[in-house]
Amino acid sequence: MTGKATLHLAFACDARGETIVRVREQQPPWRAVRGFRNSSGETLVHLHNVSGGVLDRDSLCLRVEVGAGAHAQVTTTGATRIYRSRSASQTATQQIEVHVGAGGYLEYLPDQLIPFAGSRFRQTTRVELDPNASLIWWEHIAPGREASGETFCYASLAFGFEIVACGEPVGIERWTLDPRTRPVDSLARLGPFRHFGSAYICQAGAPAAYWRKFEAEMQPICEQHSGSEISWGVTSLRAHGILLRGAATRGRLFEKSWLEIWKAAKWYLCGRVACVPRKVH
Amino acid sequence: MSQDSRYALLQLQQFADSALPIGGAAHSFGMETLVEEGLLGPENLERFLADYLEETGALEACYCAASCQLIENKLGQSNDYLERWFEWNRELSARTLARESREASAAMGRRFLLLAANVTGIPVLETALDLAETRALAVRLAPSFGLVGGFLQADPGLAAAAYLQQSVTTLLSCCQRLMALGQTRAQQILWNLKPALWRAAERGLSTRLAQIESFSLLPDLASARHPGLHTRLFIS
Repeated sequence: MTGKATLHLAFACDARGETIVRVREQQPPWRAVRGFRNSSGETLVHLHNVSGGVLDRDSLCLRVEVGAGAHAQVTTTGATRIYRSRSASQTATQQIEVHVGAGGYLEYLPDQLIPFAGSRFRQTTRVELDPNASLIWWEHIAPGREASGETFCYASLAFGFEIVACGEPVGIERWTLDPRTRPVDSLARLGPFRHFGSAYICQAGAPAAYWRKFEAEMQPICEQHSGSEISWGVTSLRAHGILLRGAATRGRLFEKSWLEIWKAAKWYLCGRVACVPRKVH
Repeated sequence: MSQDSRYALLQLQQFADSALPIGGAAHSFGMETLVEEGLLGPENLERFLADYLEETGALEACYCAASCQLIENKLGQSNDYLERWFEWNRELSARTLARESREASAAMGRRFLLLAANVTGIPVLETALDLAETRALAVRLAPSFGLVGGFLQADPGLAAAAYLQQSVTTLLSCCQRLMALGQTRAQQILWNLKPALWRAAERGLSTRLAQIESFSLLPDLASARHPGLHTRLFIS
């Protein structure tokens, strides 16, 4: 299946204060089956892509609204596979628009993104946070299908990412990786690492001193999970949040350490135990 | 080149000097971590700086050139353009993800603007500083350099190139304290980097702020890890 497709999820509190999810719009290949209540109090939704991956003519749009006071966790059912593009004019796109209302909470924890050899992909994300809204936003980018010997064989991978909290820009990323023309293994880019990822941890309105303390708390944890094959760092954003960033030579090692770091960060952010999203496979 | 342009170039040269007292010698922008972790040394420094210019350099050149053009287009009108300039500073801060690098650039930007306001006597620079202080806004070095360049009626592309020249010279000076890098080799690297520096300035000049891209994961990560180093020569 190809073409423009939208999935629109709306999380809201019901009369009992529990978070329910409504699928406002759903077009193939998107599919969201239902919400599950997890043990840490969020309503979990799995994002399915029934075509098994992203095709070069796909134009996917994901809209997530988390209403005031609602708690949501969103994950994928597996890795996001970006299939080979058949010509230079065909770039798969994914646009993500997120709004978290006052006091709302969103965890976005997709599995890794795997760009296949020859693939072209552009993802644009904009996250808006109202006062006291919280966010954990994680993304892990793999170098390709490593088991098939495909490492940085994709044609282009472009990301645009923006978080706005209380109306002001907090973190902005705009980049394109084109391994054929700009070597990814340059020290100014990824150096010796192959996998990389970022986790934005935000709470709109929390003061700068809180984030500096958060950063200081996470710093030894990042150090504990760093070594010759993996590196983690933490830094305060210009306001309203911190960024945890890592890079590793191996995907499994990276995922394992991320789980531990996420658990610590979530506990510090909201005092709730991190609950690893249940997978349906 | 007209006499005015030659004069502007001479003034710009003074501000592009790496010895300008704005605190550049105290910051490594994450390079200290890369050296400490055994990733960066004299053998791969030139390649690193060339790629750094292609990514971070082009991004900063873009904000520098745009700030210079802002003055070129608005000269003689009200101070409303400063609001847009502050917006660009906020945006560049949001794009500089690592705190230490962001704070280093903000400290250097404020000192640069203060120095330029004092030596040139351009009143708007003082207004910009006052507004930034009142609103607790960080002014970054690249847009500040561009703003001053604009008032000196410098060519925006040349202003961006001069800014990058200052940045790379400062980084090389920092490397001389971090690794076995002699004066002659440092000058050779700086000379060899001119094409990369010019390309970054050209790209910064010809790309819109909303379109300019930069991928600098490892330097950002190194900057984020810098506070955790046991012994540090540099603030960032």
